[in-house]
Amino acid sequence: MNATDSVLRDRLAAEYVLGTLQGAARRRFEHWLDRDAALRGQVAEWEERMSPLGSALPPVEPPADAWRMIEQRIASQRKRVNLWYCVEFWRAVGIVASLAVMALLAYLALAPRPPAVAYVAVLTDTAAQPELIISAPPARDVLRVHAVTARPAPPGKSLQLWLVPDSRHLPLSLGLVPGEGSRTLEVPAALRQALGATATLAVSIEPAGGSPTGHLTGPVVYQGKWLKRD
Amino acid sequence: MAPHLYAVALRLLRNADVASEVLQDGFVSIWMHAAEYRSGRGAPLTWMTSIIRHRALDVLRQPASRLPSDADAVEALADTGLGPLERAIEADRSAAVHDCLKRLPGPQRQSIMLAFFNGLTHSQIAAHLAKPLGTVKTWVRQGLISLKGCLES
Repeated sequence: MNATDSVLRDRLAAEYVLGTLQGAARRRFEHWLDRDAALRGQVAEWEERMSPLGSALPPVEPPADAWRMIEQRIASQRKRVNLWYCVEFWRAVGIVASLAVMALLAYLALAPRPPAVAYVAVLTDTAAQPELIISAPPARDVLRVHAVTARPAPPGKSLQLWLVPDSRHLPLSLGLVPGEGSRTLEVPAALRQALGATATLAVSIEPAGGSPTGHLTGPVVYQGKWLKRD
Repeated sequence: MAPHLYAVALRLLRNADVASEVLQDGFVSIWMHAAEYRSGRGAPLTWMTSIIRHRALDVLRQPASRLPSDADAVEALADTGLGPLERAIEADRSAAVHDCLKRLPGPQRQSIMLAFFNGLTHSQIAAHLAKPLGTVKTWVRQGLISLKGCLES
């Protein structure tokens, strides 16, 4: 393909998205696509143009066994995966939460000036529904907390976030988190090191204003793995 | 999200088992590549939809496909015709592309919809509409150019 022929490039991008580019032409186009960021951009533009057409299709519930198959197949990839794709983690949080991670990554990727995110956790409730998305920059000096759903603490109570380094250490308070909306928490300098390692984050229900003893006292309602992006 | 993606696969493949396999392949692929998702790739759902669409088109065009042949595919249009879709598009005022699609001359609109919703190739569209291949290629090309122009105006 003549790389300077912008009309041809746009037409091929359009027909690729539409599906009428086929056979050898389609394979050649995909070969170019791997090497040409501008062409990928043109394809993305056509996808944005055409994708609302799909909203005319009535949604159809996938077969019940599809999710089980997907989980099994992802589990079978375990040899190829790194911590980010840790199977136990994904199993624990379930597909919904992992989609929330993807949405988060997508949001971070699309933000005009994406904040540097080096760590992320999706905290889920006992039904594996995502409740809080928590992320931190490489310095771990602040935590960004975003409530996925609006579930405020019970009246007269607060939601308190804990870092659980491992089973040998007591949970450490990271502060109070919102039941809805977003909040940025300052991380005490003493806790930044602990946030540099894989850990568990948990949220418990504590008296208003936080645990009076400084230790976890209430029931743990949400938890999730704190993972480093790599 | 999944019901939307499954509807896309099912519409193209017209076979629940094969559509479910494509959905599974697509989700595993989305899963494995989520961290590679880049800005400039559009909205997440658009990105996922395109992964499912391309995978469904790959399956649809496998030579030893378990799926209907060209002739069957064209005949199957009787069951999954564009009529209900055209009414849905007519009713949906939310998407600019729907308005723009409605403004295209009939043959251009029909060709683009057959390609997009049914995964028909140029030659399958030509067979379905009983028109020469070259004519259909021109309709598709002109239709896409007009769509883009309309969306940018």
